[in-house]
Amino acid sequence: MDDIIIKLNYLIPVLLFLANLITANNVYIDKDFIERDVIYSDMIEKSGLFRVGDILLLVNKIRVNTLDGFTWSANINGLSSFQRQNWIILLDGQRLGLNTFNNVNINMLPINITQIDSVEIISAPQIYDGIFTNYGLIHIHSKSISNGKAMTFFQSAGNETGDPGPYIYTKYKSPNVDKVGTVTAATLELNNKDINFNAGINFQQSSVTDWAVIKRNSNILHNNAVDKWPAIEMFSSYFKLDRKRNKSNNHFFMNYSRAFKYFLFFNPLGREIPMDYIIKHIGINNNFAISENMNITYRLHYSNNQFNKYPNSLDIDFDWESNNLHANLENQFIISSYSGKLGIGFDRYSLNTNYELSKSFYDIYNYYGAFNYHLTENIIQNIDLMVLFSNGKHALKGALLTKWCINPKHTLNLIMSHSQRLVEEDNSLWYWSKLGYGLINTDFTINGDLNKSKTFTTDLIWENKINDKLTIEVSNYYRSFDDIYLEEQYYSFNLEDGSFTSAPLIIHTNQEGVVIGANCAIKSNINSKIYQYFYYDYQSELSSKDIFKDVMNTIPKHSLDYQLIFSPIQNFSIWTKFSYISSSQWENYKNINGESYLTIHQDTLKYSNIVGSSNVIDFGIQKWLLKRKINTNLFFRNVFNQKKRYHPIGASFDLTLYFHITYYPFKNY
Amino acid sequence: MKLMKYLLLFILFSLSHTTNINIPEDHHTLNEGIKTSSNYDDVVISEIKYYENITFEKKKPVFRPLYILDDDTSDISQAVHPFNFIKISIQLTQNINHNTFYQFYESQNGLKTSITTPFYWGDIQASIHVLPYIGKEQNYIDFIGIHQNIKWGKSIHIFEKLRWYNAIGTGYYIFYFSKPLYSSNEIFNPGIAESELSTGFLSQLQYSFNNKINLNIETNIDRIFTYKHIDMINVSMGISYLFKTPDWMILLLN
Repeated sequence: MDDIIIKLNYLIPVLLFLANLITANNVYIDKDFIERDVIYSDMIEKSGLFRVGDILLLVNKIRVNTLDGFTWSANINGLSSFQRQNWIILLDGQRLGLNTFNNVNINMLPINITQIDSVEIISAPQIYDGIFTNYGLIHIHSKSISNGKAMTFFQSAGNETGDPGPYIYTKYKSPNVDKVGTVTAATLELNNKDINFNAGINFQQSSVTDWAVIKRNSNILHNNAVDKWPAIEMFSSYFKLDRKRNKSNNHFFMNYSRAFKYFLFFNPLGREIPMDYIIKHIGINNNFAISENMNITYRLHYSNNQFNKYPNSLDIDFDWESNNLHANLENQFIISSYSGKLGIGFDRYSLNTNYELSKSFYDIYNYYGAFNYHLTENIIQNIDLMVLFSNGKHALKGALLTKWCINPKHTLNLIMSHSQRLVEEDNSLWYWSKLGYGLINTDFTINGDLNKSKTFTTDLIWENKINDKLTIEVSNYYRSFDDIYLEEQYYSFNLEDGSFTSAPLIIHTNQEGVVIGANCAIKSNINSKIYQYFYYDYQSELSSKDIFKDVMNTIPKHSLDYQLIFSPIQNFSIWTKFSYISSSQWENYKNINGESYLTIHQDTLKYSNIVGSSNVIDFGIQKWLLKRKINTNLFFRNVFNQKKRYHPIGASFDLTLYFHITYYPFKNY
Repeated sequence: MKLMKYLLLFILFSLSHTTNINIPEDHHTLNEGIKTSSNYDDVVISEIKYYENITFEKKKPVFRPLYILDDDTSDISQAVHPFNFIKISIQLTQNINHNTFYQFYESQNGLKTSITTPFYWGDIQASIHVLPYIGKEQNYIDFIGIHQNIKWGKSIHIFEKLRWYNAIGTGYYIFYFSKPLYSSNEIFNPGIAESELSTGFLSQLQYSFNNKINLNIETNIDRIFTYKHIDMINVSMGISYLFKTPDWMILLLN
C-alpha cells in the first residue's frame, strides 16, 4: 500500500497537469443562492493589514483567537468552538490542505495580501463547490489581469513598541521585543486574453514579541538550532495557469509552502513545538458547457502536509505526512425557471509515518444535489442535500434556504440546516491515534466512542436597504450540537522554563449544547468620501452541559466593531477601526490562575484564566504614488496601547507600527 | 498633563485662526472672495484665467494659487496644490529638556534636515534629526539618534512675512550605537542599532526674506515608545529654500 501511495505522490501531479492541458473551469450557471458575506480588495488595501491571515480581523462574523498573531483559530458565526477548527479555506476554488491537528493556518497560503481580489465568507451550512460548510468556509479570490503583463513587488515590516532602546544597560533595562516580522513577495502575471499565467514567491517572518512566549519558545529550541530567536520563518511559491475557451475554462494551481521553523501550539502537550512544516498542493478545476443550460465541472486536488522535526530540547518529532486526494464531479443545469446541481465527490486521506498503523488510509464518498426554484414571485428557495459514506458508515446533510424579497428595500433570508458529521471528516489526531499514530501514546483517554455528530442550525437574516447610502442587516442564529466530542485538559505553569505542563487529556464523547446569537450591521456611505460600518454581535451557549459550557466560554460573548474610511481623493485614504471584545474564560487554564512570573525589568506578571475585555483602535493611512504604480501604507495597531490579548497564555498585542509598500512596474490591478 | 492641554489649545488655535476662501468654489469672482476675507485669510484661486479689476479695500488676504505663477508676485507666498512646491531646510538643533533619560545620557548639538510640501489641507514635512548622545558612564553605550519622521499640519500668517506652522506626526527613531550591543538575557540577537516608534509635535516660525528663502526657528516635542518612554524637546534654527517641484517628482508623488 505504501508503494502505491508513494507512486501516487508522483503520478497524480503529472496526471493533473496533463488533464488540465487537454480539458477545460468555472463557468458557473448560478451561485447566487449561496448566503455569503464579501470583503473586497479596496477595503483590504485601505486597512493596511499585511498578512493574508489579517483578513480574519476584517470579517465581523468571525471571532478569532491567537497565541502568536500568526496562527489563528476562528469561530465562524457560532458554527464551532476554538477546539474544533474544521473551517475550510479555498483559494481560487482549490482546497490547499491547511487543516492539520485542529489547526487551519491561513498564513501558510502562498499568496500575498495585495493579491486578494475578494473574500467570500460562507457563515451558514450550505453546499459550496461540492463541500458542505458545517463549520464555515472562506473563499479567497485572487486578482488577475484581463490582458498584458503585471508584476508586483511587496515589502512590509513591523515594529512593536516597548524596546529598551538606550536603557538597555541601565536600571530600566527591559527585554528586546521589537521584531514583528517582515513579508517580502514578488509575482509575475502574463495574459494573452485566452491564457493567463501567474507565478509568485513569498517570504515571511513572524516573531512573537511577548516576553513570556519568547522565553518558553527559546527554551525549547535545542542548542543545535541555527538561531535561538523563536521566530517563524516561511517561504512559499505558487504557479497558476488559467485558460479560457468559448465553452470552457481551465484552472491549474500548484504551490509549495514551507515554514522552516514553525511553532505549533500542540494542545495535548500544552505548549508550542518547533517543527519544519511543509504543504504541497496541485490541483485543477475544469468547467465546460455542454449546452446553454448545462455545465459540467470537475475538480481534482492533491495536497501533502508534512510536520518534520526541528531540533528541540524535548526531542519531539511529529513524524507526520498526510495526503489528501480530493475529486469532485458536478453537473449544473437549468430547466425552465429552475436550476440545480448534482455531484459526486471522493476524498482519500492517507498518512505516512514510522508509527505502525492498522490502516494507513481511508476514503470518503459523497453524493449531493442542490435545487433552487421560485416558490412565489418574491420567494426563492434552495434545497441542498448530501449523503456521505466512509468505512461503512453514512452521514446525511441538508440545508434549506428561503429568500423572501418583501419589497425592493426589504429582504428576509431563512437558512435551516441539519447535518450529521462522521469522525473521518475531521481527519483528526484522535482518529489517527486510534489507528496507531503514537505521538501522544497513552496521554489521552477517550470516554466512549467517537460517533457521528449532529448539528441543527437556523439563521434568520433581515436586510433593509433604506436608501443607496444606508443599509441595515439584523440576523439571529441558533445552533444545536449533539453527539460531539470535546476535549478537557488542565494545564499548570512550570516556573523553571516558563512553559506549561498538562494533565492527561480526556475526550468526552456524546456531548451536546446549544448556541444562540444575534447581530446587527449598519453600512453607510454618507458620500463618496466617507464609508462607515458598524457591527455588533452577541453569542452565548444556552442550557448546555458543563463541558460544552466551558468550551464555549472561551469565546467572547460580545463583539463590537466600528470602521470609518475617509477617502478625500482617489489616491489617499485614512482608515480607522474601533473594536470591543468582551472577556472570555478558559476553564482548562484554571490552575494557572494567579501564577506569576518575573520579567527582566522585575515586574511581576500574573497569569489568569480570564482574558479581559479589550477596546482597541487601529489606524491606517494609504497613499498611492506614481500614477498608482506604488502603494504605500502605514498602519498602527492598538493606537492607545491598550491591553490586548486573545489567549490566557498568548502574546499581548501592544502598539505596533507596520509599513508596507507595493510596486506595480507595469500596471496596477 | 498641563503641557498637553496647552499644546491642544495651541493646535486648535492655530488650526482655526485663518480661513481658506476658494475661488471659484466659494465665490465666483476674485473680488467677492476678497470682500469676504479678513487679514491673512487664504484666498485660494484655481488654475484658470481671471479677467477682473481687483479691489483690496485695505485688506491683506494672502493669495495662494494652485500653482506658482511667477517668482516676483509678492502676494503669492506658496502654492497649495498637493506637492506643487518643495521647501528644503537645514537647521542646527539642540536638545533642551531634562528628564530621567538624561541621568544616563548627555546630548550634543545636531542637525535637522527636512522637506516640506503642501499635502491636501495643509503641509506635510518629512525630516531627519541627527543628534549624538554620550553615555554618562562607561556601561551606557554612546549612540547617534537618527529620527526620521513625517508630520502634517497647517501654517498661518502672523503678519506678512512671518508664518507659523504647527504639525503633528509620527516617526521611527533609530539608536545607532557606537559599538555592538552584547548578548544578554534581554537580547537574543544583538546588533548595533535599535529602533522604535515615535510621535511628536512641531511648532515652527518662518520668516520670509523673499519668496524663496526663509529663516526657521522651531520646537519639536517627541515621545519615543521604548519600554520606558523617552520624551525629547529639541529646538532648531536654520534656513529653508523654496522651489517649484520638478515635474518628475510631482508625477511620483501624485
